Amino acid sequence: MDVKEVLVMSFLLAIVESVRSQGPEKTIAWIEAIASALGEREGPGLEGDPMGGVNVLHICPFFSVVQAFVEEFGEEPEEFKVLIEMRRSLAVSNIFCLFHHRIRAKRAEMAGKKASLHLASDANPAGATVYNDDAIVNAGLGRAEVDEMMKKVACIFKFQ
Amino acid sequence: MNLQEAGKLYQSSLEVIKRNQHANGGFYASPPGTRYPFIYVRDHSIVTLGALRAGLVEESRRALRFILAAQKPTGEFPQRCNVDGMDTSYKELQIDCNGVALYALGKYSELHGYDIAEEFWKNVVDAVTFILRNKNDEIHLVHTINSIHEYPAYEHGFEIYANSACCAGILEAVKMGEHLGKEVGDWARQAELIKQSILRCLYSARRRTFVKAIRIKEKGSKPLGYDPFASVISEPDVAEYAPAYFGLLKDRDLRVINTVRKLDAALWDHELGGLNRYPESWDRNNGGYGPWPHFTCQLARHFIRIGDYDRAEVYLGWVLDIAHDYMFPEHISTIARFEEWVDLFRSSGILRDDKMVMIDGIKDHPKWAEGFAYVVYPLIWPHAEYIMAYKDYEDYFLKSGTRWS
Repeated sequence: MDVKEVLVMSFLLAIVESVRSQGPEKTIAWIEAIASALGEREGPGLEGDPMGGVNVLHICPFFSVVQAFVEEFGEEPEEFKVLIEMRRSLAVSNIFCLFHHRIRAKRAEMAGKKASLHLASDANPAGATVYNDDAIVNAGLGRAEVDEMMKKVACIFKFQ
Repeated sequence: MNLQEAGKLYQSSLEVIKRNQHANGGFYASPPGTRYPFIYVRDHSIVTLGALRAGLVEESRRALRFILAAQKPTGEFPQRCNVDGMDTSYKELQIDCNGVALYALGKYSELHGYDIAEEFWKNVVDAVTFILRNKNDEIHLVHTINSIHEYPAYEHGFEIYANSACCAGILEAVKMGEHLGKEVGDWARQAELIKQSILRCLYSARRRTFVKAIRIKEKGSKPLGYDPFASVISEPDVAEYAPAYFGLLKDRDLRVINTVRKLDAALWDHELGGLNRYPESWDRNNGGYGPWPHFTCQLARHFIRIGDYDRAEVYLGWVLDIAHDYMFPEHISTIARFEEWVDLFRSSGILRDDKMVMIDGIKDHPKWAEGFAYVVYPLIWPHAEYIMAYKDYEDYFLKSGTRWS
């Protein structure tokens, strides 16, 4: 038994249980509260590789965990899909994007940045790019430029 | 060795260091527009030591204030940060950064006073506390994921550079604390435990050399023998010189002499000269396997300190020879080895985009036409090591007029 894997699975199952018992809004607030606390613990920081005015991640550090979960349980739970759909316009690709984005935003906020925009990502089982069009415009980019970058990266965001 | 050229290279190294210090105090690992335009704590701290040795006091002060302010709330120093001191790390824990930052602060304080140590005392406490939180109390060694080569497959566990740096860093913190009237008795005891464990567990009496690492997956594994990684990496690695580099042992200590003898025999590059960092078979030879000037300088200092003038000449002479326009690359390789590396990484599907930038840099370098791959040019770290080696050479062989051997 890999204890760390058990803890990760527990967290994902806790999300499922929370959506059922507390509802999606409270679950998102709960996930974001945990992420903020972790971001605060890590301290100020600007994540990602700077590239053409935005920052990128070449791989999603959480995706393999999501994939393992989906493989084990057959498919992505409906509870995840509900949460992802609620944040779809923020370019959320998988359940951990909610969590990861909040950690990143908290750390950037501590580093003096006013906003952390999540432009696009494709770290979902289908590998389909999801976009945050408002953020893309706000970052001064177009979908075509984002698509070009997404050929090489898993996630694009911008600190302002 | 051409002494006139060696002196010019020393002067150039001073300029390179000064030119690559941002106004905020951070030393770039490589200049803006090149491969590593960030402040890497390890590189920065060693460059600070070089600046100190060269008498660049104001530069050292700014460097130390910068790096201490970049510490994370957990007490950990990041892998790297931007010029504003914001964490931009992309790799997991490299605990030796805590050690080298404390070590540089201690060396500065010894020479120029304790005002920075006093002002940043909370950072010192947090840095030591963080190290000790990562110490395993069964073996009394510090656990890390990355160390000097940033290569977990080879360094994850109790690694010799990380442990030497952390031990030396805590010992410096003890000295600073004693000077400032702080209670540091427990730190002194903990540092001694680490030191004794380095000498007992990271040294093979049968081989009469230090070993690279005890691979252990979890820092808290107990008993260690049941950890899934439990194994020892005993191949030659330049990091095995770390106990002497950080002053835990004298260079004349037989354990150090034998270790360096092994490194010299196993890692000296017979085609290119210079010292490789570890055997080629461990791979991750970005740009092609080959010798590194900063590691060659480190062992040059060993040969100088034990009075082996001939070997010191060979080592330092090689460093002088490979400098291009009085500047150093990270390492050099041959075109054949470079092509082998490209082929291997490409066919394995692990040739990243940023490596393509590096490949262009190598092929565009003037030395390519002479048959050499100059990888990451210039890198600042080797200039600091050269400054320290040159000053040692000057002190031992030139000023005193002594030729020891």
